[in-house]
Amino acid sequence: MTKTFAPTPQRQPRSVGGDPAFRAAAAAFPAEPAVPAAPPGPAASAGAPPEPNAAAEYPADAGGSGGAVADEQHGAQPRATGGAHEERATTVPPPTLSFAPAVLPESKMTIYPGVTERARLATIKTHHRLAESIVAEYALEELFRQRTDDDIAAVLRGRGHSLRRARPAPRADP
Amino acid sequence: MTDRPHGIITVASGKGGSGKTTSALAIAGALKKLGVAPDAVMDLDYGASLTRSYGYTPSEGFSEALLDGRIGFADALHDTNEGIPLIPASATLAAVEKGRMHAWRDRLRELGREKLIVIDTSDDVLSAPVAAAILAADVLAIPTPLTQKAYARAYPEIAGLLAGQKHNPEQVWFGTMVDQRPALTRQLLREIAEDGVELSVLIPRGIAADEADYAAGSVVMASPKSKVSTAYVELATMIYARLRRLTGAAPGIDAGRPTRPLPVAVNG
Repeated sequence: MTKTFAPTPQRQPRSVGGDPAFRAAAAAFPAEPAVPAAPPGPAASAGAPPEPNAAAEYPADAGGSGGAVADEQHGAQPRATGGAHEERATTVPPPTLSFAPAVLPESKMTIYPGVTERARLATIKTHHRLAESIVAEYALEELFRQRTDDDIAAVLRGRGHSLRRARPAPRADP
Repeated sequence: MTDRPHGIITVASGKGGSGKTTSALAIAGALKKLGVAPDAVMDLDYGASLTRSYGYTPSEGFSEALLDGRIGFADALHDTNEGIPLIPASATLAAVEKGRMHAWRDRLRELGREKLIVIDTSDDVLSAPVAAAILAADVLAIPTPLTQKAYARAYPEIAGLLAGQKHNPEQVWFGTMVDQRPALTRQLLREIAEDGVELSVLIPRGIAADEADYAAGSVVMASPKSKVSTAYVELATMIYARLRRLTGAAPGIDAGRPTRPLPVAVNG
């Protein structure tokens, strides 16, 4: 099944035409003069003159007679693919293929904490009925490194079942 | 006329932070998912956001070199995680003089006659690279965050540019980072509808789009089942259908399911 669409009119929000940016943009580039139809004949297929320079073809200040002359030349020949671009190639060297895919940051590639630590934590939570998620580097370095599971459970219990923040001491009544 | 999908899809908006790069990535990824992978995604943003999104560090302006004719199309392509070739940009795009705009536009139109290219732009609509991309576009995708300021900034310069250069591409407007809970969002949706602007798809706000940065690809690749991804696939379907209508050459794609109405009664 293929979607079909009715022809869509040019859409434009109501206020766009009065926007100063609209007028500035409309005058930002010189409009091209109408291109006359190419006359058939041998001149159109053979002995085509070189394409004029792009800057001369479309002057930045105004689209005057120079542009019209240039387009008459275009009308007598199919537009060449090189032309002014090939002329520029003699002065500007092509870029070298020096791209290298960027390596993702290490922190984005490492599963953290690791599978071993997460499995061990799940065991501790199950056996000692501790509800705690440990993702802090402190927990990995200080808690898991040299201690047994029972020790870790004792530490967690002593912290009020939380490593994220120390529970504030109960306020003494005045 | 060829059966090969071809054309220029330009993602442009006059509002910074509107989701242009995210959308360009996602549209390209969604097109690939639909079976019409773009020949390239081109970065024409001097900030090189798209280049960075694919995990490259911008150092050389391949898009500039391609449009200047200094390198060929194949030489400008770079591999990506998503399998969609990237044409990277660099900050030198900011120094491209306006006199080169028409030549770049013509070069893009020439490429669009054979290749299917998605172009990401910057919000500097009147710079030569962005103007060339807009004026070469067969389909202009306009991301619009649903806030008053963003809506007001998204289009005036694009409209002026199109009017001044007498170019009339297919336009696909879509809302980005949409959170429909605030009443102001619903109010703005009504105002947009009254303006006669049809928002084809509302891309929801979602963490999936942010997470895609770490996968160096689009949200369609990183989180294919997310709501954001689903919305972008629907958007890509619409964009491709418009493109196909213009070119009349490329094969159709299975739309899958009929277009859902907008989840908010914008006319009510």
